[in-house]
Amino acid sequence: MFQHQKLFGRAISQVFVIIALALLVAPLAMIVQTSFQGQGPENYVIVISTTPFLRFFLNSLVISAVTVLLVIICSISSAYAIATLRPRGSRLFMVLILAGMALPGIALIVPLFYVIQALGLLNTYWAVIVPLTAISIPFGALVATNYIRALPVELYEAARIDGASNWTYFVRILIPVARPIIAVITIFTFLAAWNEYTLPLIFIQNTDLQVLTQVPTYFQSQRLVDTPKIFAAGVLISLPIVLAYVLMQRLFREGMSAGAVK
Amino acid sequence: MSIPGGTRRRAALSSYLYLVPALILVVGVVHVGIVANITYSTLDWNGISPNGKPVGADNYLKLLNDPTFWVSLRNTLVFAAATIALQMVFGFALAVLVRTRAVLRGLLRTLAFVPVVLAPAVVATSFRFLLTPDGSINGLLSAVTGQTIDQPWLADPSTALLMIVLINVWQYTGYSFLIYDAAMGQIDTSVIEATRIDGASTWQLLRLVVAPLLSGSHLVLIVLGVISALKTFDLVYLTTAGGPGTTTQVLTGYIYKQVIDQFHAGYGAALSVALVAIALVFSVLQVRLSSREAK
Repeated sequence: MFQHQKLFGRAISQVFVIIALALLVAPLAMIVQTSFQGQGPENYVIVISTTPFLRFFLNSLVISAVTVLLVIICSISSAYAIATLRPRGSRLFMVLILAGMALPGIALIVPLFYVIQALGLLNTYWAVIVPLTAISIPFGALVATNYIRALPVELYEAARIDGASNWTYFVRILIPVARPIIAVITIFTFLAAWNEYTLPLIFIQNTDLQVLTQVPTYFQSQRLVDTPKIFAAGVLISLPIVLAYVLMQRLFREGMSAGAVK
Repeated sequence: MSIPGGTRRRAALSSYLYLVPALILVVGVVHVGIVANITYSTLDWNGISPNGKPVGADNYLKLLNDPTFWVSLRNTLVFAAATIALQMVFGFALAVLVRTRAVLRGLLRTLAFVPVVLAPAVVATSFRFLLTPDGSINGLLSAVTGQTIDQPWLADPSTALLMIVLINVWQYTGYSFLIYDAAMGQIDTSVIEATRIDGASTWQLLRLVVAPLLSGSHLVLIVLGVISALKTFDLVYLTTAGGPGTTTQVLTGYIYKQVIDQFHAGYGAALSVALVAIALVFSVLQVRLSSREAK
């Protein structure tokens, strides 16, 4: 689009590209470099062996996977009702679901703390999964509803004329057709769950159930701060998600821009 | 003739079942939570004992006279305005740059989005140590300028909030870039060609043709920017924890401090109600925007 440039314009844009790359890379390079200070690669071994790193990795994976699954089920099925079946009052239900869109999780900690304690869920995966799922559903339902609304009406009508029940249509036709939007919901929900810090901080005090984002705290206490190991932990936490992004760039871009652009 | 009617009725009833899972979770957590917050906000309560003492609207009167509440609100708004403006300008610039013939533009497109996928907790913790007086950033600045620079960026009240803004800009400019990149890809190139033939400079082309064509993206980024600014917690909590003093405190951080650190659950609930009220306005805007885009 801006390729017909004169020499001067090309030189300027080249300079800006270099500056932008430098600003993006510099902090990442500093983090990686610092992570090898002191004991070198040994830092990484120490992070994995002296903290419950693998356990936390597993916990993060379980919490993220269950959250993603629940958000997909709730989003797609409610979107199906709102966009296709449209029972009486579905507009009101949609408003109810979407109201939580911009809600910061912290604004719910007082009631959450009370309810989670009363239900005996403190120090369980559910203490993180339930609130995380609830605040992730509105966005999932919104993009799923927009997606299903954009499908041709004939898709549903033809299936019904052929004798398919609402349930058969949902399972056999809609879910396979909705695969792209399910991928989108998977990506942004997984990212939010994997990177979640606050809910585990507040609702999980049991060290066996903590998640990856808490690992760096193992190397910072009042008396001692071990910066290289904090950075090594940061690199280890980020590696899976950065790898996933690099391998699935297109999917990530689509996932993260859904709901913002069509 | 009663059979078809009966089937239809049953079908209609079963339609509601598809809404049940989402409604249980959202209503059970979000709506019940908001109502409970309103109830708790009328109590003098530590969040642990079974009962609080009813105090009517006292918590709200306290809130109106609480300088830390106003500082937190102001910081949240300043943070929102500054991050949105900077991320939009830089994101737009990046979307233009990857459309030039500059070398390494492909790498830029890939790398710009890497910070976006990182955990805010990891980014915040990293910058907290990179920005110490003897941290790597001062090291680099000293090497470049040839002078000893030992500015405590996050501990100095005059630079702390700016640093938090800049960390956020570093992490999320890639998101604004993504939105602009997608929208620019949909601009009809013949419009650009025509403007070029009319002799417009690149600057005129960007300002008078491209920027106005992306008005939908500008709006989306403003609304999403306010929403994510209202949600920001990890970044502030793990860099300055609101300090020095209350100079970088934001609404989420202040709620956390009141409820978790100081056991002022009743007052924290009142603060939460204020935050929810602000967030609701932006939920409505976000839904309006997204549904309009979809049509």
